[in-house]
Order: sequence, then structure tokens, then C-alpha cells
Amino acid sequence: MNSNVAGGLLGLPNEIALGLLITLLLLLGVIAVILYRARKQVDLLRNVNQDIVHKETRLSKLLFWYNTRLNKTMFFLFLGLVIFLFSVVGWYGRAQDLGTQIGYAPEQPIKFNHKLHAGQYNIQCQYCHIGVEKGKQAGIPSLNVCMNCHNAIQQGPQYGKTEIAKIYKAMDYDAEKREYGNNPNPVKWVRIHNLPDHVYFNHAQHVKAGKLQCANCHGAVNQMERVQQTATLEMGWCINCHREKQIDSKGNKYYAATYDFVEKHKAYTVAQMGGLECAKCHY
Amino acid sequence: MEKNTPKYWKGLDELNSEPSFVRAKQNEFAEKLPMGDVLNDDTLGLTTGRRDFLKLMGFSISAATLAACSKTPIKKIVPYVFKPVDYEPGIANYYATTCMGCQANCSLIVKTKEGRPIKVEGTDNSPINKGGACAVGQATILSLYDSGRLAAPQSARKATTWTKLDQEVQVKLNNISTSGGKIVLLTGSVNGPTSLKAINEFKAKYTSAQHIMYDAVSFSALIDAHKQVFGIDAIPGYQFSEAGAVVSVGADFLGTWLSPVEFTKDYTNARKVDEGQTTMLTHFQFESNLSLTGSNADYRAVVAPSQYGEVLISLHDKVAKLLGKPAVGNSTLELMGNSIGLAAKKLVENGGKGIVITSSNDINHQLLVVSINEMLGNYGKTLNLQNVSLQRRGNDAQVINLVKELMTGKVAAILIGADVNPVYTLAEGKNLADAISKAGLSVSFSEKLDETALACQYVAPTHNALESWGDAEPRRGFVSFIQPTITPIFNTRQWQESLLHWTGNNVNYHDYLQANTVTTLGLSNDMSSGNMRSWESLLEKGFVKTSSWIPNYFDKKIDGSNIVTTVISSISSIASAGNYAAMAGGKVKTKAAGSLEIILHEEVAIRDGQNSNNPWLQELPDPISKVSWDAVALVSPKWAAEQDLSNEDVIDITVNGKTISAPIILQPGQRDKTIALAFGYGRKLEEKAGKVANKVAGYNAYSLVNVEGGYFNYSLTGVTAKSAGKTYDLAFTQTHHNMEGRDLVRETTLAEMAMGNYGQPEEAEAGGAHVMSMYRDWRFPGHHWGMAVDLNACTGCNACVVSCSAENNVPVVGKDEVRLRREMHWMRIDRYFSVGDTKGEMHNKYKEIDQMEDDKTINYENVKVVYQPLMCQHCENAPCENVCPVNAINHSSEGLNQQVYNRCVGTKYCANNCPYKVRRFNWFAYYNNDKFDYHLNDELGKMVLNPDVTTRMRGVMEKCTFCVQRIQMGKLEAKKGNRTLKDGEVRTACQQTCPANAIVFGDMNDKKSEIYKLVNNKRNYSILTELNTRPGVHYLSKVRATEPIA
Repeated sequence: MNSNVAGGLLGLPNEIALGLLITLLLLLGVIAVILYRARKQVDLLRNVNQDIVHKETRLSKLLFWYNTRLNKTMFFLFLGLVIFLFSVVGWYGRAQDLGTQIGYAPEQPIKFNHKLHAGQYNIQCQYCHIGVEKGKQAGIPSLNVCMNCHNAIQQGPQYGKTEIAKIYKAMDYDAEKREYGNNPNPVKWVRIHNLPDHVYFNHAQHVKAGKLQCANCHGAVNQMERVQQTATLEMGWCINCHREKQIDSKGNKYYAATYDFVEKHKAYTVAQMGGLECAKCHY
Repeated sequence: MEKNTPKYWKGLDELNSEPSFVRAKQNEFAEKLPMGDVLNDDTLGLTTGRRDFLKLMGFSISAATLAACSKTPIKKIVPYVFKPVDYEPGIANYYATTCMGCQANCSLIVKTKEGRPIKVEGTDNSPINKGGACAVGQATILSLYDSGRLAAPQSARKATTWTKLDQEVQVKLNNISTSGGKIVLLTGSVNGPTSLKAINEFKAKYTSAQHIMYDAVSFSALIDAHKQVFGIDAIPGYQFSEAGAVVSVGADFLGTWLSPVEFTKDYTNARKVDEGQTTMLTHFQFESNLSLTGSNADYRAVVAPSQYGEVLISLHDKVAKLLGKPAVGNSTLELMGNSIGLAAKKLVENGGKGIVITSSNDINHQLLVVSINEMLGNYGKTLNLQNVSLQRRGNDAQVINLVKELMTGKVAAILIGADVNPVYTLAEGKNLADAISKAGLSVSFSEKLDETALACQYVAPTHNALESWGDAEPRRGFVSFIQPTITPIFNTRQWQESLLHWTGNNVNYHDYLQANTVTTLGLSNDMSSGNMRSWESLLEKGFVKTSSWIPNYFDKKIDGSNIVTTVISSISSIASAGNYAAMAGGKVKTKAAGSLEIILHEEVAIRDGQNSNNPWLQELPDPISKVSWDAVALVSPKWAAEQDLSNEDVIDITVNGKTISAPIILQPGQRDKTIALAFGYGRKLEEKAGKVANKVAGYNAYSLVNVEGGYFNYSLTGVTAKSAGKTYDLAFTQTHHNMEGRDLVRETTLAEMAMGNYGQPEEAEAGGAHVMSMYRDWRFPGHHWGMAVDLNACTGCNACVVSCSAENNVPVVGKDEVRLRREMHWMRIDRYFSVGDTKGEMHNKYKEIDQMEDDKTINYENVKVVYQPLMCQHCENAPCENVCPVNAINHSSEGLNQQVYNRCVGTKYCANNCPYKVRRFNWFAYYNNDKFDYHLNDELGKMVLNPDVTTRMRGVMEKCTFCVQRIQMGKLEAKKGNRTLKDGEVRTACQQTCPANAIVFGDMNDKKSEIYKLVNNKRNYSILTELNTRPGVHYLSKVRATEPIA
């Protein structure tokens, strides 16, 4: 999980905290039952020779109370309420995440391995995603970018020739003769990070102007064989970062000329420059 | 002293407080919301039982649950296989090209996103349009995505292939040519050097071919007058920026005449006023109908169309008298306020810096105008005879002869250009269609099946201008290039290429154009980017000034130096101008016809009708009549009262044995006993091709055009008109969004300004309303965006409205919705009238509206007009923000009033509480609804949408955002470039296109900015300051060059 998301109990993520709580409660219940039964055994042993028939024990009082009809209903209602409350609390967290697609890792038409390329070979993200500092979209590389290397490298360590052959097929490239045909057919990648249509997001603003690392939002892509979504991409997630992240715009003449606090203060947030205003992203 | 300020009103129903108007103005929404239907007894009577209710509820909940379980749709990303080098997804590319929306040929910069053009802007340093673009130019982009365009060539109304068509046409042309049959190529005004070369090549191959140029609304007499006097077969280049006095007899040069954007730029430049300035361009207009130009004139007098000639004689002789030259007639006609005399005086005072023009297509009228300009010494100064205008080149005599020959079967083959539509624009109409279809060969190059293409045997559809290569030479010595901004959408081919193919030259037109340009301009073949005279650098810039361009003429002040002599020396027959005028003077009719008359005119949006299938233009309310979607007959209120007619009554108009019927609008400013009819309506295209144009009902005004003295004549006498006894519903917006007659527009005169009256009311100067406020003051730590609109510059041309719609994905709602006051335009131009007193003084006392009500003698002919563009005012204390229950409107630290669509639930409280009436409620899902079939609901039309702006869903409120997407983009570019944001870098869509430079936008925190200067200008005011809304939009009061208001 991203550390920017505010934590639940003890700073733990909501799900784990809730699980812990429930386990603890269950444990307590079990202990209570064991203790109760032990106490009963001790009582029985202690009173074995006494006349206990007419004596009102605590248990019988409790049983009588329980046996009156109204109280029976109340008891079950109470139990129901407790269970209901627990499930509300439990599911609230889940429901919030509905549709966020966290962990979404669809299979791609070409099994491109980011762990290999970005991790092992340490190729910079910007080498392929060239739009990231220029504009709105980081961009999926066109196949001629792949060919910068795969012109020469025709076999990979993991899938052998099969996946690389898919590039050649899409480009209508004959690897033997090293010739391009006239029938290219673009690859249809599955989009992983989806924002709603009413949100305007610009990569250049965050990467070039805001100097963020790709991993801040996309996670450790260099550890992923198949890329998955690691952030919720919810508005709350965006806003949190805009509120909390201390940004570094030192040396950028635009900020210095526009906001007088940029030079005066060491640290400030996007929010201080209006980063929480609606029309920054919605128009 | 009581201040004598004019009382303004928008329509006659407001002036007369008609019950319907009073009722309507009280509500923000025209129709009651159907709450009564929902809450009445029928629907609330509980016939549903408890069990049914539970069943239904259970079903709905489970259905909703199941529906919510659908899988998130899988979206695909499809990158290029080979990415073009200079293209990045999400980043706009810009191409320089030329506007073909009308013949003015303004230079354009087209913004393309992901390979599709989405917006046009004027090219900033083009000497023609100087960064401006008009409503028609802005709308051309939507015509590109018209799904009614022809998808393939046609032979006998059936789709065919180019190879087949080429073969058949070529065989027929050869046969006709060898047998000596006449071949005619009929086009609009072609001025591109390479297009003309292609035509010449065609004529060289087929020697019997003749090229005839034809303008639907002709300038032939103007051209011929200059041909007779100076031997120059063209229209002079008008230089309004240098003019001190302009007299126009009927010519709507700011709206439709010749080159409106060019003229508006120059005109408003010459009328710019700064503090302490004592002179500005003085503008006289004599006309029959209130034109856009007339509505901006300092002095305007109405005159019968049949009297134009007499006005010119009178003006000529008054000027001649002042200059001691011979008179040519015996008319001493004078109009209100001695305006002709005053015009003559001002012209002489501004000797050499005046312009006289007339729209009349009568050679005698034009010869008089030539003589007046010549007497005043305007030629060589404000009228340029070297860099002449080639924007209209049509020759009436040839066209009239062609029609005769066609009818008698003397033309064996006719090829008709895409920019002309003779079957529609010539009075012969249907007979001509028959003649064309019976010719040995008839080919149309039309993009779509228009009236003429339907009559032709072959249609060889040309590309849309935004898909074409080409060049245009709107002014001699200035060539503007046309380059494609998108790959052709359909299987079309440009007409020049077709012509060349039929000569056997199978060249690609791009190569042809490049080769010709390189040769004629002597370009280097070195295509490296450093070479500024390379072909590619020309394309990048979009235009070139050739050797015949007078270098400093347009850039520096004219001081009567050698520039003038070089121009004049080439003209031999200058002395004869007076002789021609004397001859003409004898022929001009000097008496007004007593009868009812008709003046045919072009409207600002629809013009000659070539673009009438464009929904943006149809929905645009006409600046004068405020009617959208329909053809109307404009009549004077006095005549209507006499005939007992009112708005929307239909009349039958008969002239020369032809009858048309049209609903009327009572138009202040219209000459009594004159009916104004507009061109461009009554289209009959093929069903699919005319899905918008055909829907618009109306007459075809071209059917009334007759020929007089060898020229097409657009004013008719001997008219009878009577009520047709029925009414027709019109969509007119003139009184929509009413602001209850508050003091919103302000004006002063140049003379009064010198005395310290800047059009400000006294209380505003004291700043009374600003002292106390319930709200905390806003702080604007970074930027503080603001806008200033100069009412003195604004001509009301409506270009900004279309530009705004294109930039911000504003939907087209159609006539029925406009009638319900549901037009979605984010900005509108309010048009206010005020009227002089009963004596007909042009400039004098004003009366209270309620006093005028009883005064039956008011002369509505003498109205004055003020335009006021109105968009969201971005108030600091915005009334809309406080009433929103879901906080969907709030204020930004940059001074923007932000409307959040995804938060809006559509209560409409904000619209109700907005004193400026600038909020628009989205009633339908316009983009996905068959009912709104205005290009934007189909796959192709949607390509015009701006991907950086949301298309709003049904049920939300929307409004002007100050083009926040451009602000954000501008800031980002500055951040990326590690530099400060320059003033003028962020321009709103309305500002950028404005042909009058009336709108200025910028950062009010920047003390060096243009906006800061204007906000602190003495003419600056905001509207409704008494409400303490503190608008971010400022206005500068209008200044007239008239004498002070007494």
C-alpha cells in the first residue's frame, strides 16, 4: 500500500486492523466460555453434598431472564445489531474500494516483462514512455521504439522467440530478411490505469513540473512481471497527496515569479497553490 | 443636473411592455417545470397495494444490485506501429492554412489533436485577418465532419470509381473538343496562382474551353468601374486602418462585404480611443436595412434602396463643391441631421484618408464612388491599386451570357466548381438545372449533392478545404497556402487534380503546387529548416509576400511619400474618373420609387448560403434580428402597424410576378416601406447532404434577383405584400436572458470624453457599493484572471460565440429548444437599441422608455445600437455560489468561478440567482440523442470535440469557464519551460478569434499586463456593481465620434 494513504487502527491498513480486532474478540469469547465452564465445575465440586435444588444460583437467574420471551427477542436483536455493525464497519472499507481496480493486472497481448526491462536491464521509464514529460499522456511506445533493441535481440530469456515474434508480426517485419511488409497491425494493449472522463490529468505537470517519481503512483513497476495497478486512483488519494506532499519547485522561475511564498518557505504543498480547487482537474 | 442618459431596450416587446414579455421575463426558465403533473391527484392516488409496492421495491433493489455488478469495461490502448516523428499523443499540432469559408481567404492556424482538426484560429501576423477569424471561419471545422458529404464520385447519381469517371469524362471532353463544342468551367472567384495555372493547362488542352468566375453575391460592377477608369480588373485594396472618415452606402463591410475580418480589424484599430484623444475614424452609413456595419456607425441614415444612386450623386456634388470641382447631377438630397453634408465635410477634412464604398451592383453607382474617392485623393493611400483585392472576381456579363447559352443548348460541356451553386443562386433555378442535365457533359466538383450537383451527370467530389492542398492570393502580392490538416475522410479528390487528370497530367496536386510555387517564387530547393525561403518554411508560416507587395504600405503610417506616386504613376486615365462620373450621373435614377421595396442582403452567419448546412451557423442568432434557424422578412414597425401585422405573421411578397412568403420581424432601424430578405435559405439539397439546411424553412431570395443594366440587381421596386393570414413560430433570442432594463451598457462621445465624461454614472465613481460587504475579501496569491471587453471595439459580429462553442464543446440544441430559451451558448451578444426623439435627429435627446410607449410618432428608423458580449462574470461575491446545496460552484484562488459538473445535481438554483443570466442548464444528452441531429451526435461529427473539455451530461448546469483548459495549459507550458507566464500567452477562445480585438484577458495581479491597464482605464466599469458581486469581467464604455449629446 502507498504510504500516502492515511492508516486505520495503529497505522495498519483497514483490512488487517479489522481482522485483528475480530480475532481478538473471538479469543476473548472463547476464554470467557472456558472460564465460565471451569467456574461451574468448581462450584459443582464444592457443593456436591449440599442441597442445591431450591437455591437460586446466578445461572438460574440468568436462565430465567433469558427464558422470558421479550428478553429472548431482545437478546437476538442485540446480537444481530452487533453482527450488523461489525459487517458495516468491515464492508465500508471494501465498498469504498469498489471499482478502484486496485491490483488490476490484466494479461497483455504481448507478455512484456517490466521486471526484466526496467528492473534487470534498468532501462529508464522515459525511454519508452516518452510523452511523460511533454504532455497529458505518458504514452505507450509505438513498435518502432521496441525495434531499437529488438532489431538485434530476437530472443528473450523468458519466453524465447514467441513474444518478440509478436512484435514482428504486428509490424509485418521479416526477421530473416530484415524487411518490413506493407501490412502492419497495431497491438491492442489493455489499459490498466483508468481515470473517469471528467478528470483531467496531465503527466507533465506531475513529472516535469512536480518532479514526482513514476513509482509514486505506479508502484515498483521494475519489480512487476505483469504490471498491476497499485494505487486506488480515487479522488481522496489525489487530494491526500496534494495536501500532504511537500513539493520541491526550487529553481523553477514560474513558481518563483507567481507565488511569493515559494522563496520564503522551505516546504509547501500543492494545496497552498490552489491544488485542491475543483477546476484544477475538472473542466 | 439630471443626466441625460439613453434608455436601452432589446426588443420592441420590451419597449412596449407587452404582456407576454412581462410574463416571460420574470422567470429564468421559460417553461414551468412539470411538478404539477407529478404531484397531482392522478399520480398520487394510491392504487398500488402494499404488497405490490414491496414486490416492486424488492425487484428494483435487486435489479440495481445486479446492474451494479457489471464488469468494469476493458479499455484498449492502440499506439502507432510507426510513430510520426513530430507527433505526441495528447499534444496538439498546428498547421497553417487558408480559410475557404468565404472568398476573403483569411490565413488560418488549425489546431489538430490526434490527427483530427478541432479548432481554427486566425494567423496572427497575416496582413489580411491579423489573427482574427469570423463566425463562418470558425464554423468551417464542423463542415469538415459533415457526414452528408459525398463518400465517392458519382455517375448518373450512382457511386462509381475515379478510374471509370476519369475515363468517361475524358472521352466526352475529347469528343466535344474535337467537334469544336463549347466547354465551360464555372467556378467561384479563383485567385490562387497554382489553381489558375491548372485551369490554364486545362484550357490549353481543350482549346474551346472558357473559364468563367461567378460570385453568388456579385461585385462585378465595382470591378468594372475600376476597369473602365483605371484599367485594373480588380477591386482596390481598402485600408481602413488609415482612414479618418468612412462613408458606406449599403455596404456591410464589417459583417459580410468583401473581407469582413480584415476590415473589422482595421476599422476598430482606427477607432481605438485613448484618454485625451480628440480624433477617431468617423463612420457614416446610408442604408435601407439595419446592417451590422450600420449598427456600428456614428451617423446612420435610412434611405430607400432605390435612392442609393441619389445619395451618391448628392455626396459627390457636395464633395465636389467643397473641392471646387464640377458637379455631376442636380440632386441636393439631404438626410437626417444633414448627414450627407456632414459626411462630405468629414471626407474633405480627411482628404486622402477617407473611404467611400457602396454595395450597389450598378456600374453608374460605382463610377460615382470611384470619382468621389479620386477627387478626395484616396487612391494610393486608403485605396491601394497595386495590392488589389482578388477576393471577388466574378463577371456578371459572362455569367448572364452563359445562362443564355445553356438555355439554348449552346454549351456542350459544363464543369462546375464546388464553391458555386448556380442552380440555387440563379433566378432561373429549375430551368437551369434542366439545361445543365441536358448538356453533352455536366460535371460538378461539389463536396455534397447540392442543387447543382443533383442536376449534373457526374459528380467528382473535391476535398474539404481542410483536406486540400492549394494556394490563394486574396490581395495581389500576398499568397496564402492551403495545406491539409487531416487525411481525406472520404474517397474524394481535389478539383484541381481532377482537372489536371482530365488533361492527361496524372500529377499529384501537392507536387504540382510545390513545383509551381518553387518556380514562381524562386525558392531554393534546399529544404533544410534554416532556409527561410524553403517550401517547408513557407508552409510553416502559411503565407508569403511576393515581389509586388508594397513593403511598408501596410506596416507604417501613410505619409504621402513615394509609395503613393509609384502606385499612381502606373495609372494613365486618372483624369477621366470625373468624366465617367458625369456620364454616370446622368444615368442614375434620382427619385425614390414610391412603392414598397425589397433589399436583398446577406446575413452575418449564413452569408450566401454556401455554409447553410452548418448547425453552428444556423443556431447562431443573427446579430441584428436575433433570429436563429429561420429565414425572416425584416420590416419596419411602422409599416407593420399600418398593415396590422406583428412578429411571426407570415406575409406574401410579390415582385416581378414572383411570390414568396416569409414570417416577419419588426426590425427597428429598418427603413419604412422596405422589406429586407436574406440570402442563403430555402435550400433543397439531397436528403442526407442537407439534413440541417433543408430543415430550415424559408424562401430562396436568389429567385428574386433580376438583371439590370447587365448586372445582377439586389434591390427591387414595385413590390406588393399582404398578410398570408397565418403565423409561423420563430426562434428569436432577442429578449432571452433579460436584465430588466438596468444600466448595463454605457456610452459617451469623443467630445464628451474630452470634457471628462467617460460614460460612468456618478455613483460608480464614488464606489458606494464597495464599502461594505458581508463576505470576506478574496486573496489571489498567484494569478488573478480577469477580462475586459471594450464596447467601443465590439461590432457584434458573433465570431466569439462560435469560437466559444467550438472550444468548449457547446452543444447545438435546435430550433424547438431555442424557442424554449434553452440555447446553450456560453456567451451571447446582447444588442441594445436606443432611439432619438421624434424630430428624427440622429444624435439628440433620449426619452424614458415609458414616455416613449405612448408616443406613436417615434421614428424607429433612427435607432442607435450598442452591443455587449456577456459571459459568466466570474464574480468574487458570486450569488450562484451561495445557493448551491451541493457546493458544485465555488471560487478559486485565481479568481475563477468554478462549475463542477460531476458534483452538480441540477437544482438550477444558481441560474435562478445569477443576475447576469449566463448559466445554461443541460436539458438533454445532446451528444447521444437522435433528436439533436446536428452532426455532433454521429461518429464523424464527434471528431470535432475538444478532448481537453468534458462533454457535459444531462442534468447539469454549465457556463463559461474563462477557458480554464487554456489557462492550465499556459501555466504548464511556463512551468515546463522554466519561465514566467507572459502576458497575452493565455488567450480565451473568444478573445483569440475576435476580429475587433474587443476582448482582453489576463492576469490582473500582473501590473504590466494589458488587462491591468484596461481595468484602470477611465472608461472601465462593471455591470450591476450595486449588487456587490465584484465581477471579474470588466467593460469599457462605448465612444461615438458624434457631436455631444445635448
